[in-house]
Amino acid sequence: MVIAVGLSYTIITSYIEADVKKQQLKQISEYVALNIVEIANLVNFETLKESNMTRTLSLPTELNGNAYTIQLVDWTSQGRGYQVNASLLTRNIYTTSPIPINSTQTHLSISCSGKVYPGEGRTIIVWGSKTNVNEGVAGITQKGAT
Amino acid sequence: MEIYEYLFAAILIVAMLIGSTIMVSTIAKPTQNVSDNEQLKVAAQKVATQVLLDTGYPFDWGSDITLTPSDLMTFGLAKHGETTREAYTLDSNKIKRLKLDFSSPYYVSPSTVLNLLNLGTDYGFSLEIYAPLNVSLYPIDGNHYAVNVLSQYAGLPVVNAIVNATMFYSEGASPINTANAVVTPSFNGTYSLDFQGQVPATEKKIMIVAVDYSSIRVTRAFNTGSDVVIGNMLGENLLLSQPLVDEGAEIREIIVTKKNGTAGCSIGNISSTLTEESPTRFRTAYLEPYTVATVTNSKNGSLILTSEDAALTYSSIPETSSFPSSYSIERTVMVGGSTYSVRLQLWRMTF
Repeated sequence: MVIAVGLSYTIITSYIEADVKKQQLKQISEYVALNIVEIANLVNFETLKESNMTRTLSLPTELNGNAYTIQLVDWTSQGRGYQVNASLLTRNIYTTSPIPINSTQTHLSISCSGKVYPGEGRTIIVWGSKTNVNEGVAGITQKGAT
Repeated sequence: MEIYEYLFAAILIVAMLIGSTIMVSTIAKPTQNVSDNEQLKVAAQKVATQVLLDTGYPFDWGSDITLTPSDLMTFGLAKHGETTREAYTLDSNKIKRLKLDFSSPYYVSPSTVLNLLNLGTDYGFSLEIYAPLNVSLYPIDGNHYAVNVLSQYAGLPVVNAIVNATMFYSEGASPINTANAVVTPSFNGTYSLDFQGQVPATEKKIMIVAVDYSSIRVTRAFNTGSDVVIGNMLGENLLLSQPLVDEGAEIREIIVTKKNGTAGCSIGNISSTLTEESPTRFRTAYLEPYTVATVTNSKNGSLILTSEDAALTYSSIPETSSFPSSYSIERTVMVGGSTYSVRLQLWRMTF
């Protein structure tokens, strides 16, 4: 009886903890999505010349002792556009936040290469680059320990 | 131990489990609510950035009538410039596409916008664009009017604004004439307009009123006669519901410019001609940038007015501009040289 109750309690608290972590991940992914949109639009303001911009993000190094990753994903072929995906490394908890750009064939595109791992000694940077008159690209990268 | 002692212990353990579960979930709830609101705030900022700073793609999706809503790849209302762009300057043609009748092939629906913003069915939104000053017109007689200028928020009278007004009128089939009003301000936000007998007794007349208050400019086109038909100008195209115009008809493009050296505005117009593209669509030979309204004589004896007024209420839920638990963002923008406020509200459709 005691074991069963203890187990139930652990399952319930674990569920609540997962919910809280999911909320925290969602906040992180929304924050990254906002910065991606802002930098993509800022870089696109340059109409005639090439430009590059970066912004350092202020992100937590961990979520209650759990490491997490951030990745930009291209789900335009599935009709879900570009998304920011934040997920815990140790548990199967992840969230996605939409970036309000739904097509790859526009003046703004998102670079979806690799994951970034926020953590001690690492800096997460959102970047934007305009390579010609009608084409701006934005993405996310990390600096520091790998 | 007796059986009832075991039972009591079991009940106690289960009660403790239920109690602690309720406590844990109750403690987590306020944090969760704050987190939900914070997420909605960031999501609203993200959407506002995209809508107000991006041009959308194709860049000229507002004025290019060969583009249908299905040709839109990204959504944004910012005005595109080949050489320079200004932040928070919106394209009036893009706004008009949201204001058209939903049966129009050029109308962009809220569901299209939600999909283009990648919000799907998770979020709802509303977009309101309104002038910071509430300008209304009251007729006194054919040559006298009163303009009331109030602040949008508290409805307080705005004194010391500089008001300019010009009447555009026509008698029968005669060309369109203009008359400027002599404006007398008062201390209760009402400004008297006197056209000093210049305007004949006709129902084919419209009035342009430009209010300049501390560099906030609000321009309104008022339909002051009963023989006036409302059309839409999309880019260089005059869109009508019926074939009302002859090939080669004259169109007056009304512009409002800042007066040199002094405060206030000048209301002027330039003339162009219309070419028939289809019975209900006409193209101007030249469209003056920053045109605030156009006026033309129709073949059935009425006056056709199109206005660039950007005031808009647009929502993913029809007739609803706000929703419980929504997050609201306001920005000041420029549309065609006039100042407007934009209020974007975002809410969750799923919980």
